[in-house]
Amino acid sequence: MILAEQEESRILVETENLKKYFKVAGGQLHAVDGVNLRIRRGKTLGIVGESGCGKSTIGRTILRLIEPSGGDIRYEGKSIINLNNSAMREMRKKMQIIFQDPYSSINPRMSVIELIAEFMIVNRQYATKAQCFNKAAQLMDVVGLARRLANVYPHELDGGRRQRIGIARALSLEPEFIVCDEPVSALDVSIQAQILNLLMDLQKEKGLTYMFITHNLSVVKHISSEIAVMYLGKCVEKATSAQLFEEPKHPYTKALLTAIPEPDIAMRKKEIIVIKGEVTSPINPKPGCRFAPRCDYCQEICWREEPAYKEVKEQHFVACHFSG
Amino acid sequence: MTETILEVKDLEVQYKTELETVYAVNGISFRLNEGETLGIVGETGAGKTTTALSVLRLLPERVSFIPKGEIYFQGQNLLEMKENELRKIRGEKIAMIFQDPMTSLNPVMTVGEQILEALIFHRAEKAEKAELEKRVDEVLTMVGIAADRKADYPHQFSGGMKQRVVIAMALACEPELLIADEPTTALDVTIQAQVLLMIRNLRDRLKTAMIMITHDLGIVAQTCDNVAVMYAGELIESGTAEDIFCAEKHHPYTEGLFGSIPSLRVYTERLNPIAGLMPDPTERNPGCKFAPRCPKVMAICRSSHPEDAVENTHRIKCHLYSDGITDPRKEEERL
Amino acid sequence: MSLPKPDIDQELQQECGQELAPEAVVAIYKKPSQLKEIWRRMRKNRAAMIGLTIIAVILFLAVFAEQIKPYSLAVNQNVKIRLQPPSLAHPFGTDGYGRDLFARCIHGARVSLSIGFTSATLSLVLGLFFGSAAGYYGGRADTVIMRSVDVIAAIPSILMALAVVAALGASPLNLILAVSFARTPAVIRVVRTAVLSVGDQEYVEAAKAGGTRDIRIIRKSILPNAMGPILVQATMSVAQNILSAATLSFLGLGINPPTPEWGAIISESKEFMRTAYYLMFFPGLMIILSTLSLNLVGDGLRDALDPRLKS
Repeated sequence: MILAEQEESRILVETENLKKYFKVAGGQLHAVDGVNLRIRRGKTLGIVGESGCGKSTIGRTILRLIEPSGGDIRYEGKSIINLNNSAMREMRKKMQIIFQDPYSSINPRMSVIELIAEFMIVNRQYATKAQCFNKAAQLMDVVGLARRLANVYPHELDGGRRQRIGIARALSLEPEFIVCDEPVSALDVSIQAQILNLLMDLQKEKGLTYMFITHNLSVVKHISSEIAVMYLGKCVEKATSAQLFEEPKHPYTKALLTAIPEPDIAMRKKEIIVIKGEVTSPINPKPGCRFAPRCDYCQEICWREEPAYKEVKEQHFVACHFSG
Repeated sequence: MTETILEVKDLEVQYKTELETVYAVNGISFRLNEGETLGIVGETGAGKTTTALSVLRLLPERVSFIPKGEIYFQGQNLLEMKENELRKIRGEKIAMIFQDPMTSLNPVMTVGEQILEALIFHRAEKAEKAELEKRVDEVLTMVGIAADRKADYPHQFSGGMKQRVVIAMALACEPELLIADEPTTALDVTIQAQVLLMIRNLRDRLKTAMIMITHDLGIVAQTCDNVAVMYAGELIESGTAEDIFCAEKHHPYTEGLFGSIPSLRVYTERLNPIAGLMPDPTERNPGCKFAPRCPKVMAICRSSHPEDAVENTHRIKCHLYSDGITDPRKEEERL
Repeated sequence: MSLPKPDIDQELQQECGQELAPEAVVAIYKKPSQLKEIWRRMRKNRAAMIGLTIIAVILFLAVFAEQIKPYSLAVNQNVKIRLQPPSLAHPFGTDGYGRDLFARCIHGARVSLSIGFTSATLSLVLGLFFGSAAGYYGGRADTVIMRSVDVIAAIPSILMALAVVAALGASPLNLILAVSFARTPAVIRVVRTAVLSVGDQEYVEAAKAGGTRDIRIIRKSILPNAMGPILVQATMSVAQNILSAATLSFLGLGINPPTPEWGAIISESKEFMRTAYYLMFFPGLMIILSTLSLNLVGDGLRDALDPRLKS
């Protein structure tokens, strides 16, 4: 019982039946549709899925950059869904986000040091502006930006360095939790590896908790302790990183894992589970399993009934009628 | 003995603006045999796309210059050809697939019309309309699209389907060489798997030679016979897929590329990325282009440009192997 | 704070820690001028530079009008020298009352240009306020503002200005009000579009995530990035407003005689159109040159500000 309580207290961020629907021309777009996630303090939850599965929406919804349509978000056990603007501003000091696109996520009219100091200035983190700039200069060291770049404008910098600015900016309020929304997808592999190492070092040093959103399975395996696989607004499978890659249960996860082209010619003959068709529309989805139209194991029940999200093994959750 | 279909000799490409000169491709040579697939890997700015565009002579006019080099396609130097001769080769004998399918599709024409147009333009002999229509149906079915969708417009297709249409257009005239520039980068993993499988099957069936340009070593491993690694406009390593993926000795940049990818099989605590950034393409230094980032850099690397070290099919442009790739002595000396 | 990581740029590694103390960074911290960069690009644009030169000359004439030709020459009548063609003493000739036309034109430039600039500023301020509110908040604010704009824009702007002047009376101030009021809807539209296009950018979302308040987001993140098209519009507005003011004065609804104003001067010259071409030609030339040059500058600004052309 005490153990369970300890386990409870280690959960930093939790969502319960989180929903986000967008109104579009054809009806309701179910971007996120009843997702339950728990992220433990100091760990990384990876969210994988293909475009349109709602993975970016979920990250933004947790920070309430997009207001959820239903469900609950809890931070340290307390619901943040009804916090007013000023309480939410306080909250955002603890919860930050790193964006995918190092080009559009950085204001081109501000210099590097202004960009990093901005959040500290608006939140009056330090008594004077000079102190904020001071701290920003220190953060440049932390993320590996040369100080001579302090007064440079972003258009003179490459993607990797811009992404370092984004990371320094997210760190500037000393958050506990950071949503990383595809932070390396726009970068070349060698730069990508630099940024991944930086993120992991920072986590170790500061005890940060990450929600790492990506479509890249090898990256997510590398950085995450737990992985949630999303398909059309639903979390279809969640397990520890090792467990998921060893024993994927959901047919979609299986297909996803075999689809990765591996840099190894011995793998040329590996059998690829090519799933048929394409992602169906998330607008007014039909009842039943979302993956049913593409699933090879699809039975009659899959069209009728939505599979429950259940624990099939310790810490391994799957939403499939035939995963038991 | 297989015939060489494409041979590039010492090609250099520069972009000139009033402010600066960008040295995009700096003396690359490679050859491609009939029916084979060559993978060109490299990061953004390595000169992959520029190489492909110069083969098709599709480089932007006025700003681009080819000061040196020859490109032989079936024995003819493409760089000396006139525009109207080139038009016959483009699309008919060499076809290209671009990364973003939307840029190669006309949004106001149905996909059937677009394929038909490609056929009419390139077929020398006058064919019956019905016959051409049949061919359109054929190529669409070949890429896995139901023939009755030919009356649809591009926006009615999803990203993966659009790329299939583009491939259908490229293959409609049965080209002898297909250049695919990051054909699946814009697609999701599962769709990428579908498209790659399709490209591989079609290539094997039609015996088309192919150049696959990508930044993804995984795609190269799964599709290519030969591999060329590009860095800062140079081919720093090339060889058969076995040479690149199985051999022990590599260019330090290639090693860095492999070290940067998180493995799906082995758990690693930290990745081993390459430090630093790609060199400024507007500057030309005497030494090795990779020297500023190289973990194994020696004095000679900064002053003299390395030559290719050759062992059978495997070529490495690095001073480490100046006594040959198999020779371990150099390694000891350095230590 | 810990030391930098082992795998960052070697070059950076050397620099971190050893180069500058944090205090020094703050001390040398100063904003490198983006204006300089814009100016550098602007200078390459020949048409814009010609425009800038012309407008500078006209401004110079307007500012030093009193020193060049005293105001008295522009208003005091002298029948003895009426309707003289251009000469050294009277470069633009004299009008029907014997007033020096050059003096009238350069003193008129003061009036016309100030009306142009003031009314453009006024409509820019109004446009920035309503346009950014509509673009940033969207929803109901957007609907109310934009529908009002539609209604106002449906009335021909000259008719609108006429109505304002008719209601408030003809005076320079009312002329400015009338002209800027007629111009504001167009500015609101441009500002709204610019704000909308910038509002989609992730850095706006990032600013929100950092707890920035709306006013600061608009001021720091949105407007500086939306300024390009807005500045261009403002420059063109000046030209447009000079034209509108001249039109209204020509119709006798703006500046009252004897105050010199380009439109008014042309209006007074109507009766001599067939005999003294220069009475219409020179003030007309002033109007054409000033509006043309402002438009050239506007076009040049648009190119210079376009981030796509950034190196």
